[in-house]
Amino acid sequence: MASNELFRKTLIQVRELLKHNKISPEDLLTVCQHRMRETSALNYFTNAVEKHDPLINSKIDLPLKGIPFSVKDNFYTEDMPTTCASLMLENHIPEFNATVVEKLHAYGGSMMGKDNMDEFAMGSGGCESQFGPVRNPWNYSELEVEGNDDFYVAGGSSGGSAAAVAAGATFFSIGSDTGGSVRVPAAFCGVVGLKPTYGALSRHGLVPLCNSLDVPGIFTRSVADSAFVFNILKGRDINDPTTIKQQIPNSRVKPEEDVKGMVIGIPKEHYIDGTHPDIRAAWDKAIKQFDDAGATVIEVSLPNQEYVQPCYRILCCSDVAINLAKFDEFEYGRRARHGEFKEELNYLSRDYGFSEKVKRRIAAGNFFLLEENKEKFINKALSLRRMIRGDYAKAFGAKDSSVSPFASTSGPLPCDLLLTPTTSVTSPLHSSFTAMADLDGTEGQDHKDLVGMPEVDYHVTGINIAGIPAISVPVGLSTNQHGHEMPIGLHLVAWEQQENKLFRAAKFLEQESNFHHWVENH
Amino acid sequence: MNRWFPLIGLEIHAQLNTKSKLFSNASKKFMATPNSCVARFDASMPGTLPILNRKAVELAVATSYALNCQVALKSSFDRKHYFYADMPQGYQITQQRAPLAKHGFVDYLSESSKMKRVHIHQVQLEQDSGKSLHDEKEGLSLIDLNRAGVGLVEIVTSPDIRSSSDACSFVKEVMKILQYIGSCTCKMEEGEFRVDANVSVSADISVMGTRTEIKNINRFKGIKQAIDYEITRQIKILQEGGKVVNETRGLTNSGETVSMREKESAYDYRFMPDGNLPYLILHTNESIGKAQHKNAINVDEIRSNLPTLPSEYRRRLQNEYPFEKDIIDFMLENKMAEYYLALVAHRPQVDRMLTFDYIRVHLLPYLERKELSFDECPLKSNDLGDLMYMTHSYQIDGSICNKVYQEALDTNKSPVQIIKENGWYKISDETMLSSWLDQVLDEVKQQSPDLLVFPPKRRKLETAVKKLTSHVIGRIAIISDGKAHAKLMRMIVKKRLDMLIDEQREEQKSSGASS
Repeated sequence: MASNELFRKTLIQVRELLKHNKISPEDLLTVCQHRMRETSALNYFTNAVEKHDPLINSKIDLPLKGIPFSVKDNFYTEDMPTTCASLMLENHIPEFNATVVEKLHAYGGSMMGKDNMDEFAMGSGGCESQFGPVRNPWNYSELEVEGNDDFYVAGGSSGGSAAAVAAGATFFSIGSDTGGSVRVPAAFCGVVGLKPTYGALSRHGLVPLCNSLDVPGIFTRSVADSAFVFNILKGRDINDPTTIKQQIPNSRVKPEEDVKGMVIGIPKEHYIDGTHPDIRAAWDKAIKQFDDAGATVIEVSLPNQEYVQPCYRILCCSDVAINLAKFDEFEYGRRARHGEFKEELNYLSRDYGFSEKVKRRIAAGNFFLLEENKEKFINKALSLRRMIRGDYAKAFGAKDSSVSPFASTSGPLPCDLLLTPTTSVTSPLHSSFTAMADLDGTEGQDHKDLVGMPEVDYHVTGINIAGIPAISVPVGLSTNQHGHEMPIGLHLVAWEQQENKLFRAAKFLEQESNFHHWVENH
Repeated sequence: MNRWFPLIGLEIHAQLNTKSKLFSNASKKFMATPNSCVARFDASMPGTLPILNRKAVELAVATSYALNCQVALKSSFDRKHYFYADMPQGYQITQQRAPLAKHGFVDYLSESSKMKRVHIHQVQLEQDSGKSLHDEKEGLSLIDLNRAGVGLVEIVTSPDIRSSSDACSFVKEVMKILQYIGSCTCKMEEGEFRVDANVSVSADISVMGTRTEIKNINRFKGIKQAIDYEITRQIKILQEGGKVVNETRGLTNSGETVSMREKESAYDYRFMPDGNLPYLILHTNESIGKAQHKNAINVDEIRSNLPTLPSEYRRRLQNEYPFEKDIIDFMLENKMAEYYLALVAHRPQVDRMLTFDYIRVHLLPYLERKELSFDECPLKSNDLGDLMYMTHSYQIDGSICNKVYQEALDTNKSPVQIIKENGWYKISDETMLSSWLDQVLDEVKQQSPDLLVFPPKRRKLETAVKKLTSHVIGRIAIISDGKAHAKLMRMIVKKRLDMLIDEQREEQKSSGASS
């Protein structure tokens, strides 16, 4: 086989080739390095690994031996900068590996680089990085040919991780998902993005955004790949007290999956204005496919959906204010050159080191946390969180202590999965995203950052609040007003620790949709 | 002149007696090289997470039960925010919303030997902070994180205390309780035990005045100093028509309290649940079977394994003998009660005071020198009981007692065995001793009857009695082959001679009267 075609394979496919000695780990490395150089303009890495472990050719058979991967730059990597795409941590070199990184190394994987991201994982476009925005591989070269310096955004905050996998520089990558940060870029870049159950994967060594919502996520080019990496990474970590104590069963994906007998819920609150017609059509098509395949499709209700964003913003900003307090040049972070007193140095360093957006979230968080605001914000957000989780528990027919005793227990048929679009739009051009997110702040007070962007986060954020797993699967393409085809992602949601159901239905969608990652000009 | 009623509530911070810190595996050592006991988490390295120390939870649960509290089977952790350089996370992990335990009480004996009660509002687990050191000469601020993250229990009392001396008696009782259950060594000089005092005064006993908080009292004498100073200061302000400001104050080395913050407004700690720590779930005998992991903590087990508490020892000691409060306090402070009670149970015949004194004078200094506890004492309580019994019942000579004690400590032999081997048993039977005395007195009567004539002709009475006594005792020693108990014999001889002298005096009187 022509080695330059290798990067188009999936993880499972190259593993087979490696196993039967059709290719060597070195071949893979060379192909991916070549691909990295070819697509370097996409800016998906903050730092690339220069020296590779000579052990990749060792005789020991390891599940990920020689398989190139990359990790979002908010995961600690020993002896390699971990910047969170912030000036604050420009030269921050950790002395240990995050647990997920440690596991990937132990299983023989070969790290290619650290993925570019929105600063401290705050953002949904992948544009707010001190290293410059991540560019979506889709239609990138076409725009370049047209002499257009605009580009499609990769989505965020794990934009680099999605783009690296979509571009073929790595076979899988690790991102982090706090309010949709894995699933949104997966949908924008046409790859599979898994957000596991909270606590299924260790957060040890992940620089936190919101501790009670963060979870490492997985980007791959196929559902089977996603299950394969998930099986490796899941499990209790003594360094993370929030990891799930019980054994999580391995998920297996059959070459052909059927969904006969499954109950698929369609939450009525997720039909929203402004959904792109192609996305709506893809959703309807998937519903029909499930129905035709013998699944029962029912309508369900998530009545507290409208409170998802306020709840998320309060919890997230409050944690941000606290988690970033240590970056004060005194404990961590870069020190301003001027400034005589501790307070002045502190102020100057933080003022220089953090972007406007980060500063706004810190200020908002400190405001929410004030004693006088506690009842109005934090306590409200905490009860909203229980109500939102309760909605999902009810839809899945799960017994859960957080479900309000007043909620009716005799709901409709308990669902196995919920199905919605991942985003309401396909990846926008950088110029329109900037306007949409009001990144230049022209709208002043009414800043999008504190209210969310329904176009991208409406369907995904509630999942983090509920702590349950979800997956975004690319199912087709939508032609936009510029005549460019951009991927569409559908979003499957399951109750906690039921990733196996996610993979089964996602595999079904994958085989039905026959989505192609590699199209012309991509 | 008004009468003023002070009201005092205390917050006690006691470092838990664990090998490692509350949320990291860094060790906890006093006076270690600065920053040598710091785990990544203690330095707030991003991405590191707190791992709760099981031992610390067990000790805190034991403490809560010892303070008669209700332990919550589900408690949670909160972040309390400060911006101090020695608090690297920017917050302290504590338990504000749902503390480990609530609603307890401690009964203590006041200085006037009156039993009093202080209610415990709550007991919570929390982290200690690091230390800032200021090098003024070099103009440097230095940080030592060795103490950062060390586990504390904070014990919050209700404002139930009315005087500084009661506060001291209460604190002493709490220290004893923590030491007895082993949750804290309570060395104030090493910063393991610190007290914050909330003090207010009011002219109306039913109304609480504005309070001030004196923080971080780290020497025992300071508790009394701070409270007394504060009461006097507040009374003076009120008498002059002023208002007491609700503020935080510190205690100076000279025993005065000074305002610590310039601003009068209360500090906002912006409490927030800690998302990195799951609920702390504890189990009972019923629920432990359903626990999801083997490290689950059973509070019933901890409660039933609680050692005997000082209040119980105090009750038992009082039942045992009407000791004075000071002696009981001494016994409790030196953890002697268990040993003493076991000894007395084994040999109820021993003299209580003499036995206490013997332990205090001989055994306690020995144990202190060897840094041993009474549990580890090589001379078991039964053995010392035997020795005390034999001494007090005149089975051996008092002078031999110390010799046996020393040998028992040196050789690990039992006192009974040592006495037997050396033939140190003495005859203390009064009939036997009296018959020997009769025998010797007969000898004297035959050989030198003058000696038995009183008052003597040539000597003073005392000299004559002394000489006769030593002669008689010497002879008895020979006759009895040294087996006569010396002290008892001496007492019998004295009694007999006194009797003789009295008899002769009576005779002389009556004969003088008749002549």
